[in-house]
Amino acid sequence: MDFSLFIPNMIKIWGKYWQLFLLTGLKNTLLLTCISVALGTLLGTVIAMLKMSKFKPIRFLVTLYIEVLRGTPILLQLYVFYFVLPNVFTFLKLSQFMWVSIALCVNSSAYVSEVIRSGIQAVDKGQMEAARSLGMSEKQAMMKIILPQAVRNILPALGNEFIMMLKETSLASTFFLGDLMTSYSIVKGASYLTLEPMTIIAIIYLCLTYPLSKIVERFEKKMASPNSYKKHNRKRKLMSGGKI
Amino acid sequence: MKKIIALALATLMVLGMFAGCGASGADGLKTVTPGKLTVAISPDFAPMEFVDPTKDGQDMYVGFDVTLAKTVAEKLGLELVIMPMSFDACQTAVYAGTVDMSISGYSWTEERAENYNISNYYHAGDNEDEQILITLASNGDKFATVEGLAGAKIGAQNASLQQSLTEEQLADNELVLFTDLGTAVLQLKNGDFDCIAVADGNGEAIIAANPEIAKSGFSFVVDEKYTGNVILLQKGADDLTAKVNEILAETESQWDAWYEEAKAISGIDQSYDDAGNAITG
Amino acid sequence: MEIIKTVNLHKSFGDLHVLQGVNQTIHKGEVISIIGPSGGGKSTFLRCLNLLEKPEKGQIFFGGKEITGKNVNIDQHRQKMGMVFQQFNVFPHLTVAENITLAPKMLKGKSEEEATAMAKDLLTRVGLIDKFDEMPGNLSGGQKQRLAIVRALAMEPEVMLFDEPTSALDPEMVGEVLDVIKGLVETGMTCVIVTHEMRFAEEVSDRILFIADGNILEDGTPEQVFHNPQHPRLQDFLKKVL
Repeated sequence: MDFSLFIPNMIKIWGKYWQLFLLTGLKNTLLLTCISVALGTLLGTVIAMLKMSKFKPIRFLVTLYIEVLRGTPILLQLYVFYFVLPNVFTFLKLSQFMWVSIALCVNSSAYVSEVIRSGIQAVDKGQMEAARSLGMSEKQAMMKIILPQAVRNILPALGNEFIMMLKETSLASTFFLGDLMTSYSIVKGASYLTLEPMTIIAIIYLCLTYPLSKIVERFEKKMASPNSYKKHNRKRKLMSGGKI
Repeated sequence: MKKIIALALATLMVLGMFAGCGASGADGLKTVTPGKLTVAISPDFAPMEFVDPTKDGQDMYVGFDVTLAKTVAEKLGLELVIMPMSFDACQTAVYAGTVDMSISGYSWTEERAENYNISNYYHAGDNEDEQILITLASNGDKFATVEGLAGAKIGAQNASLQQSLTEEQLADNELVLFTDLGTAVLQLKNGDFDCIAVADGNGEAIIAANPEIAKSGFSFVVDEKYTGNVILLQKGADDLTAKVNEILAETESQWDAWYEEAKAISGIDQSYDDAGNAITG
Repeated sequence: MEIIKTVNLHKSFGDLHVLQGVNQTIHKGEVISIIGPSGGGKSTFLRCLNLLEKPEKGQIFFGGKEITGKNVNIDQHRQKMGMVFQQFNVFPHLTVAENITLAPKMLKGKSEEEATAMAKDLLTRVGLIDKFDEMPGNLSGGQKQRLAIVRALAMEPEVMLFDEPTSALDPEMVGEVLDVIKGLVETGMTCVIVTHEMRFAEEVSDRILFIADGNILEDGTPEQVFHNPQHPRLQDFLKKVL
């Protein structure tokens, strides 16, 4: 294969389409990712709580929810949300962008719920026993003792989920939602050049994911050190005006 | 609450298949959104449908099929809403009732006729009339004749007209199917195929962007039944199909002009000259 | 006056029948040490007393009320039974002071000032007052265990349960924790202590229970249990540990 035209073609493509890549593609990829992870985290927290419910039918349904979402291709889920649900919920006047965001958010919630659940279960069992032995109810112990500690297991994993989602939003290009991968499709369709636009978006994706994964890595290390709570605590004190 | 969501997920796929849709327009014409004509296109196929990145919103979709869609909407007195999505998704969108129709360079096939209402043929200039092989320019006219093509590997898009033509007229050659034309061009450069069977218009767009690729000199004999494209409509949307056929008949004289215009806007433009190194626009 | 009474307590983990009908009465002000081989059921017995383990059969009475019955709010009873764990289980995300004040404020409606004053007093008693604002991650094992003890005391319990409080400590830190427990015993607190520290048990206890094979095999004063053991299992056990 002849690569002599590769660099000139890349420069050409970049010159003609840089706004499409950076202003439209990058913006929409970040927007989709932020929406899906933020809402996915909220929904995932609820799912995680239900998964630990004492009521068996609820646990069963939530397990089904998680398994269906984790066990089927995300593209298939996008089709369901894009083609099927708007026909069923006709009263919901949501944009196509919203339907895809919801699909990604629901998908994310399944993964996040497992992250949260394992984060909670990773807290030493003795903590719950100690709290209960002081007379706290299960709920009080969960809120005051377990969750604040689980957060430091959960946060780095959420960072990883964000990085995963950043890449998975590329599936939104199936519906030309303007993300980075859509930019690629558009350029490919107009220019019949493939490797060049692909390399460009690969570089943009890497520029996002590499620093992010480095940040998550540092965060993980910091969280693992025994003094990690100290700063949290100070911060909280400041926020609550010194009253705790 | 979450129970409902979980249940919904499991059952909605099934439900959705039965979910009818549509609303009556002013003149009794049923469309998915009253007053609007929603059309699914896969804008990655210059010069039939592609994106002009200098424009915003609905205006950025251009090409022959987009002009046709605009004309259809205008003549029906409806507002055109283009929904861009992948080629596969376009067909699903018509099937699921998400859009009124899809105009995306479809050829007629028996399977499509079973599941969709299909319009009469339309012709995008010589795009479908002329079906050719493209190959690496370095091959010269090696693959210009059936004899020269003996033993050559031919690539064609899955379920396409080109596949049928190759099977018919180059039956002795090895046929390799692909799904994405852009990727196939890469494979051609990589030596995975000797030639790709394409419509002439697509071939010209490819050659314009890839100076190392040229027409092989071979043209297929294109039978009358293959020369046109069709529009996909929802099964049973007979009123709309009839109206679309009327409009196709009315606009036939303009098709060549639309096609030339689309070619002019597409990548067959000045920014890619023959040497492949001019950077303008 | 009896404070805790168990009647025919049974507990199994899978096939393992850990408690096989334990009957015992603990009186107010008594200091009881529980000794015995590992896996014999001593920790399980202790953890049953505040229902951290739920017995399958039998009854537990606390202050005359049955707490094993249905519709019992165990959280309220647990407030009156302090517990100290082998692994300390201090709350790592709270400061030393907050470890102590959290439960009294949350559960007993103590004001910030009251709770803080109490925490200062308790920390002074166990020599940790200079750690008031530290995070527990910066404490040694012995300091953590002293903190765990005063955390339990802050709820003003009627009885203290110790589950091998020195087993996870480095040898040089055992003494400081035992001293705190001794100090507590001197205040007249009812204490039930599961321990391997035989000399300590002999020194502070009013009564020694020897638990092995799922039941109390010997129950007597330190003098009787250590110097005149009757049961062959106890004689065998003492030979090994002393």
